[in-house]
Amino acid sequence: MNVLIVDDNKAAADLLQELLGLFGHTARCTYTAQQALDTAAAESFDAALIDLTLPDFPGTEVARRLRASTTQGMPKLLIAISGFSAEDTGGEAAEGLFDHHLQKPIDIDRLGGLLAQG
Amino acid sequence: MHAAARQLLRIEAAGIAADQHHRQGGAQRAGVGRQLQPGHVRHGLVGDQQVGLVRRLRQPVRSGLRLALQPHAQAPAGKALDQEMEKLAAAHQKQEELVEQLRHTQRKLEHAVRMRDDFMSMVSHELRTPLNTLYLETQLRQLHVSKGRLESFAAERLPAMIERDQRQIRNMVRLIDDMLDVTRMRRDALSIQPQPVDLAALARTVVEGLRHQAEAAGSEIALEAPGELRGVWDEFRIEQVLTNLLTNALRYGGGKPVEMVVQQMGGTAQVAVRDQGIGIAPEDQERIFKQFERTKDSRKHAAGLGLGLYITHKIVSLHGGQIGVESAPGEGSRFVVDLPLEPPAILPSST
Repeated sequence: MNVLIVDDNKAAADLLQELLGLFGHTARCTYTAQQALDTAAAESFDAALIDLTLPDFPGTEVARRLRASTTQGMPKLLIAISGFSAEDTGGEAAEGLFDHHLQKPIDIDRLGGLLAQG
Repeated sequence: MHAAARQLLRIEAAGIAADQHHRQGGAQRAGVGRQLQPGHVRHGLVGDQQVGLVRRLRQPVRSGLRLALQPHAQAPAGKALDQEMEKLAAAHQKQEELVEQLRHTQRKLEHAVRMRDDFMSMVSHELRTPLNTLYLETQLRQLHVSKGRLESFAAERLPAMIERDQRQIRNMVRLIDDMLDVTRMRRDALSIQPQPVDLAALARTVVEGLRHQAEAAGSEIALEAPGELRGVWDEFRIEQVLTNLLTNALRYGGGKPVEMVVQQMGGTAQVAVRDQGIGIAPEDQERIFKQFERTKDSRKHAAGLGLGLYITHKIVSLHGGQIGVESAPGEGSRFVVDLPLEPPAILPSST
């Protein structure tokens, strides 16, 4: 799978990229919402890992725009990452914006499992 | 949520439940009081019914009412009845006042619980960020070990690895310290220990200490400071102020240069930190310094604007100084701290 990562914590984003590589995926790191949207428009992705707290605008907005985009190759599988639980953030996953919500710290086996399910 | 926090919340929630019970009881009593017509009394709202009433009334308004509602074998007519009715009316009014007081207390308690809830949620969210990085590191190392890729642990790679771990640990320690500071401020127990300090030298040290963080943020910190700027401040706390302002500037500075200017203006030392990042909307400019209170919405928009500026503001106030911000969305922010060269003789309270 080709995975788009957006997390303003550069260290965490880079680690996720490396870990996903060990799971046989390819991943691209972005550190702001705008960077993520630009990258998604330029490349083709299967999935996106989106931190909900980003410096320029919220991760939910990134998800909304990815879902609304008609460009080819937009990621279909959207996974929210947050220090808050899904209940705390108002259940965006339940609204259908995200397919899954992972609370930090991220368990890589769990993430690997979600990606494997597709 | 932490077990300790849950415990605290449970205690407060229990307090509210008890208050609610009182309030409902109060309302009931008030209702009963209103229905008491002279006729009812004469025809004997006595016996079980009245005893029940007395029992219900016992708690908050024990004195007057109980007396008024003692069963009377021979109901007095005329003047005596009027007196009784007056007593009832007075007791009724007292009840209403008590109910209002209880409502007020309840609102305050609910607010306190909400604040604590928000606070705990915020702290655990913030702690999860460095924890996440550390956890990802260990999971990566575990995978390397299980795949026999020991070259990842080569001697030349270890210093950087240790530095990364230590940075996350420092972040967590700082968050915990901040949390304790906020708790101290709430209890009004944060104090400063002013000593002679060279603010210019302190600023240089802080900027140097943030070099790695600035690199990671893609920003450069330009410092403009005189050779020396002496005053009497709590060095540790002022270092916290400078660090908080610069960390925010790096965090929200959009990877553009950050500028810090330290200068003396008469009897005041001024520190100004300017970034060219996302800026702060006018309606939020006051809020960010105020007692920590975050909405769900603000959490989604930005991490961090919760503790740092609140603490910064308090520390500056304790020194008899002032902090302000000039900003517009998309145009960066300029935080200005003015500190008297010596704190006032009588230190202001941190509240």
